[in-house]
Amino acid sequence: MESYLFLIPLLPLAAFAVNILLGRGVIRDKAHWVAAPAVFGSWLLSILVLLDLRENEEPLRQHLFRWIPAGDFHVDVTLFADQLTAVMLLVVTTVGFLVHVYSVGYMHGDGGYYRFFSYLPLFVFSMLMLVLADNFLLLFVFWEGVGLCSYFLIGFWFKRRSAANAAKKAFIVNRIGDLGFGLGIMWTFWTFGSIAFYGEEGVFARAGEIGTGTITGIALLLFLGACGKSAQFPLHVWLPDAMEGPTPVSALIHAATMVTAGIYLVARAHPIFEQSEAAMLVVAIIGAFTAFMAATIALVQNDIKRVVAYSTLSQLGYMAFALGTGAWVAALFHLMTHAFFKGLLFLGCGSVIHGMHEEQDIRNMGGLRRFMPVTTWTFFAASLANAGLIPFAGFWSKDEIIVGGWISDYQPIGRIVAVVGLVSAFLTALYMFRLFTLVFFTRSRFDEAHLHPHESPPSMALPLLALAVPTVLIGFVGFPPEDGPLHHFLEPVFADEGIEPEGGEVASLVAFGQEDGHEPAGGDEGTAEGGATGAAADADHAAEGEHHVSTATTVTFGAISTAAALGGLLLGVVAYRGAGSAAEIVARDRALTRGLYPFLLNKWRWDELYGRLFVRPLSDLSTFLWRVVDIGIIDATVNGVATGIGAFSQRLRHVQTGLVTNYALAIALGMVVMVGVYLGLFSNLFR
Amino acid sequence: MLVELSNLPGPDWGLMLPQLAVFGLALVLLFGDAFMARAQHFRVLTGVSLVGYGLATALLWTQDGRNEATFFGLFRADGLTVFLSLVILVAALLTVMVSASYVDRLEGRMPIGEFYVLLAFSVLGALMVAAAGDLVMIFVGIELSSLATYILTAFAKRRLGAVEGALKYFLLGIFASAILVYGMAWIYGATGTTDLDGIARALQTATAGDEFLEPSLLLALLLTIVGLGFKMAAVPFHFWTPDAYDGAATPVTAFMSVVPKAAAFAATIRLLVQALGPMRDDWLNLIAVLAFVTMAFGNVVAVAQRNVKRMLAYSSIAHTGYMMVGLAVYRQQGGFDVGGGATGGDQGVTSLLYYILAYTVMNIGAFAVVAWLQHRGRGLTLDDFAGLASTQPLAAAAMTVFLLSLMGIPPTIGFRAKYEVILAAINADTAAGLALAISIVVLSAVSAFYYLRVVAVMYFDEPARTPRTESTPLLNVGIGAMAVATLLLGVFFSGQLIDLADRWSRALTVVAQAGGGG
Repeated sequence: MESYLFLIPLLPLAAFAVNILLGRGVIRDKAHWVAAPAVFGSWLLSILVLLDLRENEEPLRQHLFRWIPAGDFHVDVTLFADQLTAVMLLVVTTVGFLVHVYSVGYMHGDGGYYRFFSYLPLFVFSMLMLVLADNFLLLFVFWEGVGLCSYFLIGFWFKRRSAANAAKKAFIVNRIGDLGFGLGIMWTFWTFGSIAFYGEEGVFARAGEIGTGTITGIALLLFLGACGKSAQFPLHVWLPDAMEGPTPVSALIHAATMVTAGIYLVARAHPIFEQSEAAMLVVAIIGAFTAFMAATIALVQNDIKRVVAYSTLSQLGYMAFALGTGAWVAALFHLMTHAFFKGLLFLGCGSVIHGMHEEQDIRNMGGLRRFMPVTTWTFFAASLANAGLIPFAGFWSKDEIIVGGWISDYQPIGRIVAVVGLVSAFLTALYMFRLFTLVFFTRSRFDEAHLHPHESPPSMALPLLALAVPTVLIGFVGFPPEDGPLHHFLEPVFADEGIEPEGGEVASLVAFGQEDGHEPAGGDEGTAEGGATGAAADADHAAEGEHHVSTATTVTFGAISTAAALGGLLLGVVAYRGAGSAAEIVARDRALTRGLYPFLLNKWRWDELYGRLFVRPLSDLSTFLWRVVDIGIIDATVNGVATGIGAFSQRLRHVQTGLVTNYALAIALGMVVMVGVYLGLFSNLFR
Repeated sequence: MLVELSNLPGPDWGLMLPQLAVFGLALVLLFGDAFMARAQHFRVLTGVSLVGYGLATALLWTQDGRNEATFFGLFRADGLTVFLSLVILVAALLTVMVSASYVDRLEGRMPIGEFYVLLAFSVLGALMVAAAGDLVMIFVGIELSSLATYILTAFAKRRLGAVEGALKYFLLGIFASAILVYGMAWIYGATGTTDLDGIARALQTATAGDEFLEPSLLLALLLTIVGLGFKMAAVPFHFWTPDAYDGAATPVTAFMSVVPKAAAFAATIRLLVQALGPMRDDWLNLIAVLAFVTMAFGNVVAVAQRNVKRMLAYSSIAHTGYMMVGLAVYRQQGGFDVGGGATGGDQGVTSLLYYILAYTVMNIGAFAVVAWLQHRGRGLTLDDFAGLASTQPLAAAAMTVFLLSLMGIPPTIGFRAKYEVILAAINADTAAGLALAISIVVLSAVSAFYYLRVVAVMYFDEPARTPRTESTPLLNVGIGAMAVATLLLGVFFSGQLIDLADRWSRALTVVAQAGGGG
């Protein structure tokens, strides 16, 4: 039944092979006819997987071959698809396919057209393998694979210096995360003797048997990897620069799919994370901090893609803090909705940039709704979704995350991050509508006589429309909150563990509600704090089931976050309405952010800090090692040895005199020496 | 399998079929040379040689796994016989393919028929050594092989270099033979027998429990090693090698660098392992020192050579050193001195045998490409190889394969062979073994310099002139076959080949115990 699984990654791989081999000479500008149908095929098969899993809950497996046999230890290449995988498959192939279609228009006429349509399916292949992997090592291989594709595609226009630098930056920053991930895998292997996810010998089944210190260490290392890939603080600096790549790439890789690999990893490894409260705490704090920081930076950026990029960072932060508070399903729900609306936002950006003839600065835009209606209204829908307005997709998932934080049993941190989440939600709406207003409304701030913006061709407009549908509607797979079809679908993945945070949470809440002083371990402080701040929300806690939160809480938070979003939206529209010139925009930015403006504009100065702390010392050290150690010592030694051998060789060759008597003498001498030494040392002749 | 020599009624001719086939081939060639029209010599005799060696190779299967002796122990058909005969016969086949057209076109040469006859006798001598069970047989085999090779060296009898090389080879060769036979005489004197197993049995009692040896035994051992060292071309008994290799026609050099060397190693294994095995502790270190000196000297001096053929001569000295490492880490605990059924063979000897096979294919291959280029009017210096890749890409590719294999780069057979030797050296678990393993690795790095220099010149330099076109079908087939074998045999069939090489040292224990008991 599951024997078709291998086709899902194979189709894009085949497309890659065909295009990279034949693209340059034969296929050329028809490369999309190879790539897009292949990804479409994967999409159809992914739907098949989804349907399969809905029918019976058993995960699908397909053993392909044994990759590393080493005694007792072996690594198999086995494709594995459970409900979590199925959601990821669907997201990757849907957005992937639409981006392929979109790129036909966007990349039209580019010199590297076939190259683009080789890397893109290669990326899809790697990403699909990543989510289909059934052990850490295989996952890691394709983790690196998507990183490589990302590098290729960020630096796609490698002749542009900034693009090449951005590609390098992305690659190097990711190295740090991957180092952590690699160490985490090694530690896992060292501890468990296995790197398989599931099964009796699998890591997850035995996660509870390990000491807290070890499991925390492993979890944190894995999360370091996730931080790199999902651009969480402190490894977030590469993602905004990655916008140097072609915009469809930003949409697919740096918004919808690859950057969610870190979220996927943590969700996949949740049995490990659940064993360590400290690790969960770190994940939650990092996530919340990233969500907030990125949102503030997005407020004042002027590059259209950078605003959206920081928005991506911020939303990934939301997902991370959902993970950290144990709201696994909420995190995945947001991952899914985000993939669609952020993909749409980026494609919209691309459409704008395309229509504006490669202009990216929003200070030079304005009033574009008159020229590109489809872009405008799809962008509008995506902005609303991103801002989290009811009933758009982002509302449902973001709201669930905030509620999840509030009621989490990791307190007080859960409540703090929930509040941070609310503040960030306000900021999100603010920057989204600053952007939307400045780009599509206000007066046009470019010379209309010279620049004629135009709506994009159908191949670009259709994917916009296609993505607008899930952007508006996909939230309803999570409706009603905590009890939607998505929750039931994902339940087998997150419910089969012995120690269940939701279970603990319900226990704690019940305990709190009855106020009988019966506190579960580790929850006392939180409950006390909760008692002070959250009385209204906790009115009705006789929870019906494990995953359910009271309607009152949900509605209250729905109302609060809607209010926050609406407030941000209105402020964004009002504050920037009628901005007529670039200077005026800056003035309004300054008015809004006060003294923080330079700080925010410079992205909290992380780049400068890292430059001074790491890059400069490292570069100095490298120069030292190069000039002194490498050239002075190593090269000198090696060259010295080579020269020495050469000179020695030249001398030694003169031994070969050509005179046969000399040769005979040498033989005789050799014999005499040997006989002398041996008779003296080893015989009883002289004893 | 028990060997009851006294019960054998008479010579078992059926046991010697491959050797008899080569002998028959030599006779046929002699008659053909004498009675056939001169014009047909080249084609017919080449064909006859190919068929003869092919037949002999095929007949090896009749000896496989029999492990018997005949002629009162003079002739043994055991695992060593089969494996080394296989190597020697394959080398003979390849030599015929490589030399046919080259020798035919050589100026100032002897008649072509004599070339094939001498070749056949040299091969026969080597086969005899491989199958020898007695000191006399070893010596006769070595002399038969050597005498034919001396003459082959001077095959282009009007060329001064060839004659000079041959003369040096001959003079030093008989010098070394004298030393060898002197050593054998001491062995006979000390043990009272020329039968290898008999010697071992006698030594078994003579050496038991004594820390220091009788001087006569040591002298016998040392003289033997000197004589064999010359045949193997071990430093400092190697001096004939560069001059003789350089002087001989290239295909003859290819032959000389392999078959007499294989015969020398056959004799060394028979003598040291089988007969003088009980004195193992005395010769292991000596061989280790010689192995180190040989590979160090060969590699270092090869660096200075700008003549490719001479470079290959020194490289073959270096490879002798690598092979001797396999012998130097011989440590079989079975054999004569320890009872109990030893199961595994000896890794050292096995790796040595496998190395000889690998060396045969890649070394003849390298010389074959040199010969192929000489056909087309190129010289022997590095400059003559300039830009080969652009004018004759296939030849350059084949040469690259052989050189990489000689260097020991995966996945070639040369890598696999070197790997086995290094593994055996490390597994010997002695300081000497470890030192030798490290030496091999370090000196292989040195060797990379002179091997890769040729590759670099072929691929990166501009071609000096356009070459002649020539048709050499047999040579082309030979080079192609060797290149493919060099590339693939390290990965495919290596298990079977190593198993075949391992058979003898596995069986040695059994035979020895049976002999010792009887």
